[in-house]
Amino acid sequence: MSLKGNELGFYFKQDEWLFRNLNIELSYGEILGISGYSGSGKTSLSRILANYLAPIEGTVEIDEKCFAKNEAQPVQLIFQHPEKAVNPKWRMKDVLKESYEPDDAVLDRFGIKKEWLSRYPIELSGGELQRFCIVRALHPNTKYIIADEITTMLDAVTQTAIWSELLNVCQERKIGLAVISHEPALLSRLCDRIISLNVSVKKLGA
Amino acid sequence: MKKSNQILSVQNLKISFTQYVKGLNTRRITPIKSLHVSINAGEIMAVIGASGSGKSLLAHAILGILPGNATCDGDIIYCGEPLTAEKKIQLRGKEISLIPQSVNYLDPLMRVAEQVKIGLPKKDANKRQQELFRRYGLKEKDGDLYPFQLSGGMLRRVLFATSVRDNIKLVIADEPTPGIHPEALSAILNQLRAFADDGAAVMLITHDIVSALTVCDRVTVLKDGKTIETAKADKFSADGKGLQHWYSRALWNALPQNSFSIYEEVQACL
Ligand SMILES: Nc1ncnc2c1ncn2[C@@H]1O[C@H](COP(=O)(O)OP(=O)(O)OP(=O)(O)O)[C@@H](O)[C@H]1O
Ligand SMILES: Nc1ncnc2c1ncn2[C@@H]1O[C@H](COP(=O)(O)OP(=O)(O)OP(=O)(O)O)[C@@H](O)[C@H]1O
Ligand SMILES: [Mg+2]
Ligand SMILES: [Mg+2]
Repeated sequence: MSLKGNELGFYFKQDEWLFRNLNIELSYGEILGISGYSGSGKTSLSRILANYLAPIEGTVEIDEKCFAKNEAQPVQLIFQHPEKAVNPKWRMKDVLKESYEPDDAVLDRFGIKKEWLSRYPIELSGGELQRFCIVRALHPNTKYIIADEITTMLDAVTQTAIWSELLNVCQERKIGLAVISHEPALLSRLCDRIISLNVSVKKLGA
Repeated sequence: MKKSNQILSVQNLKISFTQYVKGLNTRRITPIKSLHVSINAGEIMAVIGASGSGKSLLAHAILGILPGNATCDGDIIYCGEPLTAEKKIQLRGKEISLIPQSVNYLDPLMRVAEQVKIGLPKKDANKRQQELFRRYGLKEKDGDLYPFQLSGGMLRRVLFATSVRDNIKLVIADEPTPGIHPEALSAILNQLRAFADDGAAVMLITHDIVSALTVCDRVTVLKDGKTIETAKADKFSADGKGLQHWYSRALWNALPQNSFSIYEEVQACL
């Protein structure tokens, strides 16, 4: 069982390929690191794997099938900038409810205080908001999570706590987790395996 | 003398918010209880602390951009005189420069090159903007893009470029570096150092302690809306024994570069 990108190719402007012939596989319960310089296409690749964006070339398969319509999204993307990922006009409890209704234990694990639920996104700090985005991604149907630079806005202590909880949840539920980061030290702490987008781009030029 | 050298001094800063609960009943919460921080000319002060400890609110209070339901107590002294609401408006973007944490501060409907030109001297705005783009590893054609067409790290670099102006005396950088690759990161840190070396006071709010330590002179640590410690940068080394507060040591030791560990006492208060 895996989330698989086959021979993926993508550009925004005709023929200015961000990547091409890219093969990537994330297995059940695996933790995969993805690095690459700023602008190399990590977020674009995440969006393709999560079915927010169609690739120009290639296909994405989940557990040997293509994306099905009208089904709860099995691949969840947690975005780099939480302030852009939530509806500013909704209170936080409604932001969560749109996905599912997490129980108190989950909120607790990720350090979300009850009193934050009735606030609007702008009334929370960057790191507080990101914790909601993480919990929102842990829908009961979630099988794969792509975490796009999700802890750059957290202090070291909170970062450590959040990763250890997220890793626990993923292990319990056998969720495959892709971790995108610029920080080699973080990736090597967390991941079973690390790939670099720079390499695949270089191969392109050769 | 130390005093005359001081550009910013924040003492006993307290920030409360009025919230509506059920109809017309209101409630006040006070997330910022007592913050102190002072920065001298030529100095970079790193401000670190837990997520939610009040770093961005501190920045917003100094700039005068807190939301309408906020009340603010305490003293903010700028170059020896109280920083009044009128002065904040007058100095913002001229002598006092903010690099905001949220990328939502960019105008979604304006090409990014144009946004970087705002506030640059008219006659060489073009040249200066292109120079800034080069310095932070942005391509010339990236300037024609709108914010939604930029990657996360590119947005950060554009935000930073909007702050680089002449005659800046106080720079407040709220998380300027997350998600930025090493080359652009050092260009940004070098620029902050250059601001300070030119006589400005720089407040560098960051979670990236390791990078901050390469350029900063002192570090202020916040927790739960209070300043818990201000230490010389060199105290953050080895196992952090030179730091006074246990939470400062905990922050240092939790870094992935260090032991990536959480003390039990920290775990208890999370
Ligand atoms: N909607 C868009 N329209 C046009 N170009 C875009 C769009 N979104 C992204 N790009 C461009 O595609 C390239 C790759 O962007 P992407 O966000 O995938 O990079 P990234 O690897 O995530 O970078 P970062 O580490 O800075 O977040 C960038 O050059 C960016 O300007
Ligand atoms: N408009 C508001 N109304 C009520 N509470 C607020 C408001 N804005 C911020 N807060 C609270 O004040 C505290 C400090 O927020 P602030 O944004 O300054 O944190 P921060 O230290 O910058 O955190 P981060 O590192 O996550 O960005 C947080 O607990 C936040 O929930
Ligand atoms: Mg990105
Ligand atoms: Mg903040």
